[in-house]
Amino acid sequence: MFEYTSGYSQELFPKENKNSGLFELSVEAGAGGSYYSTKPNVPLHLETNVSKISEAFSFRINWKTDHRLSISVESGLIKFYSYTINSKNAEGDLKISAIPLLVEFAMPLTKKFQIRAGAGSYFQTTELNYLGKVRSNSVGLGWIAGGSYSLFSKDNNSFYCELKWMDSAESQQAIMVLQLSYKYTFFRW
Amino acid sequence: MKRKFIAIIFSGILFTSCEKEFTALVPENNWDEFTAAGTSPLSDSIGKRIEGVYEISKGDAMFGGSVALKWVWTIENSDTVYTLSGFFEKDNSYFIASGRRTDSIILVNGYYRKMVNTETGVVRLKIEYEKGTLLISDLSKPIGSDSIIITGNFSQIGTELDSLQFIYKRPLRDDSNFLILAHRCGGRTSDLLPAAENSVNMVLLSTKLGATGIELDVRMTSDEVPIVYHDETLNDRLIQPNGMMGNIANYSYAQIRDLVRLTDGQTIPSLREILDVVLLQTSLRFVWLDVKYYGSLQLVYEIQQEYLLKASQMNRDLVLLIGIPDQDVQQNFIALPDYLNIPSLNERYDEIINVNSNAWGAPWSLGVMRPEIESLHSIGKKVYVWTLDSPAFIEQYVSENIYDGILSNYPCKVAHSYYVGP
Repeated sequence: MFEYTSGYSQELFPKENKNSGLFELSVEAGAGGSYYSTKPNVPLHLETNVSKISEAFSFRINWKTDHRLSISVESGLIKFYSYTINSKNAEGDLKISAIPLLVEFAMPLTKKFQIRAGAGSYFQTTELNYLGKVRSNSVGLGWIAGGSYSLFSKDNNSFYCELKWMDSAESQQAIMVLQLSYKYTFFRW
Repeated sequence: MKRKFIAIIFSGILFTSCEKEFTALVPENNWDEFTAAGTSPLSDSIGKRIEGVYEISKGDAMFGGSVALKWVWTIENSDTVYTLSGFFEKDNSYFIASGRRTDSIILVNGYYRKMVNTETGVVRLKIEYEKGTLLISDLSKPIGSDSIIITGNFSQIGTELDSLQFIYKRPLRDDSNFLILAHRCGGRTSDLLPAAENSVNMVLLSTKLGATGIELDVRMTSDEVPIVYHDETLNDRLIQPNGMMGNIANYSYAQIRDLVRLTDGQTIPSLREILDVVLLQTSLRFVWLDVKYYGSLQLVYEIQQEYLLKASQMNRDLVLLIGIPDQDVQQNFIALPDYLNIPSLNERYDEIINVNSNAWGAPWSLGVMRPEIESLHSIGKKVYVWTLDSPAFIEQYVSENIYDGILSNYPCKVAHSYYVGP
């Protein structure tokens, strides 16, 4: 049983190839789409038209150690949702976007599949266009969880697709993001 | 084993992190006898005669040994609304009721609320002919101890009716030299009152809660309209979430008025709106304008002067003080022309003389500072203590007989302590 499980785990977690080294630093950039997953907050007394689908961009720096866990810092630009406003006085629209700054831990479950989770801040911006334009900022704490699947990997380059849940918990806003990402490993030791 | 332990901890965190929502709904109280044919609304002159300090002979386990009954008027939707409010000894509780009568019986129908929790229930009271209605109806006869007995019942929502009985003891203590000040126009949103804090409906509720004056929070919009709102930011503590976030001063008055709603659906009021309600729809006689922003006070000063003039023209007794909480606001106050003659309330004792403030807003946590208070009284200044919520401290500070008023989130408790007296 022990030999079977150890052999199986060796299959799940294969030995490092000649290029992986013990430690790695890499950067990633990703782009994709998002879907606003919670109930959008809109003025209940007005006629509004909500859009929950937006684009999402991310940027990550990773530090892979000789352990299974790697640590990352992620940022980027996400959009939560937007809506148009129709009141008796005017028409307009409102958009909510955020720049996340998250510290994450990731761990491979198989050779190609990895999970990650983390927490940090979402720097949120409301852009209001109604009887004048306003850009107003706030910060909320939140978290992230997701998984990625490697599509292609050679030398220092890899492509993968990622599905993640980004939750600005303090302001009760969350999106599901599906994106394609490119990773470049620029340092090994 | 380790994984199970982690799973249990994680599940516990998830379970306990779910927020429970508390409510304190005003119960429906459909009392057939109250609205039966042959009943008519209680007049102002009759209602005023019911006012007084009563001993609670039945229901004291629930509400304490005494209650102060006060007859209050407000103008709502162009109608004069009369309310009989009761301020109980126990649990920061009160009742708000309306009155009707036949030839022989006075009926009082309303609800009670305990502010120490979310308990509410109905209250139904009667004054029988020989037990007070005859006496009350004769305006020429004085009302003496034990001459009015009010009987009835109360029940918490979903429970059986329980007996209530009040016996008249004496008139309410005179409040012409003491102010019962309600915080944030009447109370906080978090106390689950029937109106949001710093709102028009809260001002209308404040006198029914026992207030004779209010404190409100003044902020400024991006287009320089003074509004009444406590927090620096738009947040779901105070408003229905709508995607608008950040500093409220980033938004114009039109944007706030059209797009933002307080938790109970009201708009965020302008300072003028609130002062209109105070002056034209209530008997409130004091407003503390607590300035919460850093910037010119010129507009707030102009509004203050405008409403002081209006009150004077109406022969209304109304004190309107610009609140100075800190050095930065004071700098802006001093920048006003002729600031030494502008009515103000200063929270910093050492600065009262410097800017000729009319009153000191003394933090209750400093304790009863008798020498300082007497010193200010000797030069004609007033002292109001804030924000006092502990029932024991309210009773103590009232009994000190030295303050000109107490600011509280529970004006009903201050009202009981003051009107019943030491």
